[in-house]
Amino acid sequence: MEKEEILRTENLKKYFKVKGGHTLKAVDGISISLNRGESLGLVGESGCGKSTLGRTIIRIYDPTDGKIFLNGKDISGKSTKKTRRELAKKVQMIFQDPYACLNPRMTVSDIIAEGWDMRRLYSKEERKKKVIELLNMVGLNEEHANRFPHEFSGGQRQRIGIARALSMEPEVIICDEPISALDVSIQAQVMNLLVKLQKTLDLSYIFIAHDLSMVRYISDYVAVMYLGTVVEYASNTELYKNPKHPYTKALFSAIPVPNPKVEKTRHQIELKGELPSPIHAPKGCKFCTRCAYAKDICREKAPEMKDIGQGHKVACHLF
Amino acid sequence: MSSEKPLLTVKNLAFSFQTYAGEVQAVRGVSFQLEKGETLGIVGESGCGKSVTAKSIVRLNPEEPSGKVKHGEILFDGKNIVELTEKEMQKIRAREIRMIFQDPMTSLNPTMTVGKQIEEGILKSGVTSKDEAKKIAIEALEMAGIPSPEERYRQFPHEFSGGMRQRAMIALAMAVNPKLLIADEPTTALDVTTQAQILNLIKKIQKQYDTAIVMITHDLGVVSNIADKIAVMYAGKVVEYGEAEDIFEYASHPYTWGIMQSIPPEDISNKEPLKPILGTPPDLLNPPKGCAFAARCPYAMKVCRCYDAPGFGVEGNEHKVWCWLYDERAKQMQATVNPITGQEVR
Repeated sequence: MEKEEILRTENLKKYFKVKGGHTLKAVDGISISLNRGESLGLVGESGCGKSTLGRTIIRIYDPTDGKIFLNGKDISGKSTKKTRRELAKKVQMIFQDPYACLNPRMTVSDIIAEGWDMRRLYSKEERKKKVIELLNMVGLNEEHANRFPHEFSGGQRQRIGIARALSMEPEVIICDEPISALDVSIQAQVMNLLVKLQKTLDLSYIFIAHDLSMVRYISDYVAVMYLGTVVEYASNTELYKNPKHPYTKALFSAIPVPNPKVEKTRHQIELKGELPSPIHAPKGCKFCTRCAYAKDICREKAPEMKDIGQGHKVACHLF
Repeated sequence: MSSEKPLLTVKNLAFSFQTYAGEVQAVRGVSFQLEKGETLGIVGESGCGKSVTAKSIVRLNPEEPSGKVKHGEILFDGKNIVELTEKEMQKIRAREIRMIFQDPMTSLNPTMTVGKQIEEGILKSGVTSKDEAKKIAIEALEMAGIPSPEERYRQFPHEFSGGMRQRAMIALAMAVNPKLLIADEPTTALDVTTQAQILNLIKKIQKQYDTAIVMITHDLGVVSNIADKIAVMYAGKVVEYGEAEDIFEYASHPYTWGIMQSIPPEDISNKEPLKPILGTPPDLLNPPKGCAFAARCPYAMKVCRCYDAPGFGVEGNEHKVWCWLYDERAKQMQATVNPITGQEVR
């Protein structure tokens, strides 16, 4: 089956003006693409711009520069009420904190149906039927419809957030750390739900997370980000088997292995120092200040993305 | 094991909170021991009582009437912490048992320079000269891997990054060379690369000072990295206890199996669904009768819902599990296969 590209960004940039006339380059020239029915994982440390990228794609933020294509159509232009409504039908988002993203004064059915109510889509009976359908789909049931968010546990709230995202029957869902606030045993429940929904509804995910093992589980492709740029991009299996960029290697090596025998003997690459501030990002390759292999050219010139075979791309002067 | 008395012994500790809704039995009978220089990892989900257990050791839980030690004792260096006066306790907190928390921003005072805070701790621990205290504080910052410690000494917490703040917390805790360090999810708020740095730092300092550590975490990777012994907690009780390697190799409690299996496997080529633990943890306002995990346990028997399981010794050194599957009679009734080792439960 031919893969159909559903979402693509081209040299997307999002800069924020900060105090003192500085510019914070949160997303600095990112080109990624997502195929229909697949998942793209975005990994990186906090402050690397992965959430900003997600929010720029869904146009919570207006891009500073660059283009976003959804189904081949440029959606990066000026946003009006009309374009926003159009976009909301196609792209939805699930947030990290299930406690903060649900309005505490609305019932679950009102939360789920808010999009329909705004568009005056369904009659009362239809609305009720549809809400129950969605609740069942995410593993909740009818009796939950008239309760308030505070009556639910974290995992259940995340399910409500997922039901809300599904209500507009979107094609793309941006999952911004959807499981990091949940307990391990609950995380697996939510992950299974996301995978099941993807299969049944042919959804495409952008999956933002810092838990690399979960990203590995759900993603078809993974982009590793550092200070607003993608440093490595490859298919899931290829990246985890054969990481190339020094940052990717260090990042993977920093994850403790849940097995004391392996963990206590394995070789670790410890990254020196701290993530530089994105306001004063280093010149050249942004990773050069912490890279063990940095050469002179790394401090001068930003590396280009190079394809090193089978769609595995690395932005590093070593290749 | 040495013949010396252990540094810390917790015996059948129970702690409850009084709330409007009633008594929340946060910790319901926890026992463990810790030797000098050893690290105990307490693992469990949120609400399982791991933080309350740790805070009981330093007596930082709310005092009566809102919180109460129901029964049990905590012996630290021969003294029963439960019975000490607040004054004696303050001395212990100043010198012998120190604690670091998950969120270093809320546990550092934002209106005081980092150096002053460390100095304050040192002065309370018995050093009388201010110059001496300052010298120790700067040394502590340096030991915690903070570059240019003299400059950092004069800065406020908001001028530190997350990882640096946690280093400052470690400096603050270790400056007085305590016998016991309690670390409550110290790396949860940090990125993995910073987490690796902080874990290495804690291990380095432990080696240097022979400090005992109680490490609370929900991350099985982190305990694997740092713990010598592990206590797995569920609903206010320890369900499995043993040496770290035994816990992973011969995991014995169905709850331990559950959390280990909910981690995505290495081989994901066939995209099998993950194996989560179904259901949610019980409400500790009305803990269920018998084993608290029975409601979520695929192996639960009738007896599990009526009586608490006693501790059974299993494979490994001092490895114990609180589960009825290990009773002789259960083994006769049904053969259970341990999904981690693939062998029948013996």
